Amino acid sequence: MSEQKHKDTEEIMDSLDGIRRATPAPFLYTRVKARLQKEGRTIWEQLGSFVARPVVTVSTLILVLIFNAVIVVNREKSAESSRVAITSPQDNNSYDETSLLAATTSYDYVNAEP
Amino acid sequence: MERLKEGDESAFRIIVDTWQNMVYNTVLGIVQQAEDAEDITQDVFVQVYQSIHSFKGDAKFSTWLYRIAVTKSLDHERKKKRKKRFGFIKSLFGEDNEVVIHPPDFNHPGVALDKKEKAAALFHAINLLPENQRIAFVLNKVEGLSYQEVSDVMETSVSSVESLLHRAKGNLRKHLEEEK
Repeated sequence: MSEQKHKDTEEIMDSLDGIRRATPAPFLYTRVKARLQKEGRTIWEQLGSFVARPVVTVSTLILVLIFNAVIVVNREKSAESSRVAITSPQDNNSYDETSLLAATTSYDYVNAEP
Repeated sequence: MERLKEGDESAFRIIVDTWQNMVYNTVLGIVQQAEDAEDITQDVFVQVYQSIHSFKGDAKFSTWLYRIAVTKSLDHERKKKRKKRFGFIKSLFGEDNEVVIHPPDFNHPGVALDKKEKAAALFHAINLLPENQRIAFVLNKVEGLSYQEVSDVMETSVSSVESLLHRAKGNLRKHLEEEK
């Protein structure tokens, strides 16, 4: 049984003995020439066909939409922060007055005439 | 070669006509698919045309051609594997409902009719070999190159080629016996 198995394996191993070369379909040169002409297009032609691909178009559209969304969100955020900046000085007025008063008092004390 | 470097198209035609069977047979032995092998063979000659100026004549032209053919075939195999892996990930997310088609056994057109079945089993096992062993085996057994020629193409020593082929044969026997 094992001897038969070994014999089968060796027959498979020798099955490529005497193999002939495979040949491609006819007119290979014509197809190679066509491919060379296709690859020889100008950079603008290549760029044009690249941009016209649906994947590229859709990806660009999505990128533009994301970019727009980011700009809108940032603008809203900056508008909100400027509103906070306008209101905050009024809240601080009372403190400013007190500190101004305190400063004047200490100035007067330090610079008092003997 | 000089005429091709000067852009002579008839010289390029002679090169394609002379070497096309050698390139196609090598590529077919590695990728084991006739359509892919046709495409890669065309790619090989496109590269020959575009990079003929980089051929300095240090090695034989056939060696240079074999190297391009082997590199292109391996690139194709790696790309195919990446696609397969990506397809598997897509299927995990349920995006891909395509039926997975397993290619049928490869039948090399140069094998005698009475050996076709056995050769198909051998090619299946060759596909399971590590890259280096596979290339050495295909160049030696399918393309009929000597150890010296294989070592020139693979840019390694003859003893390394001997070792690669020894390990390749051992692995093939193992795979074939496991499948019985």
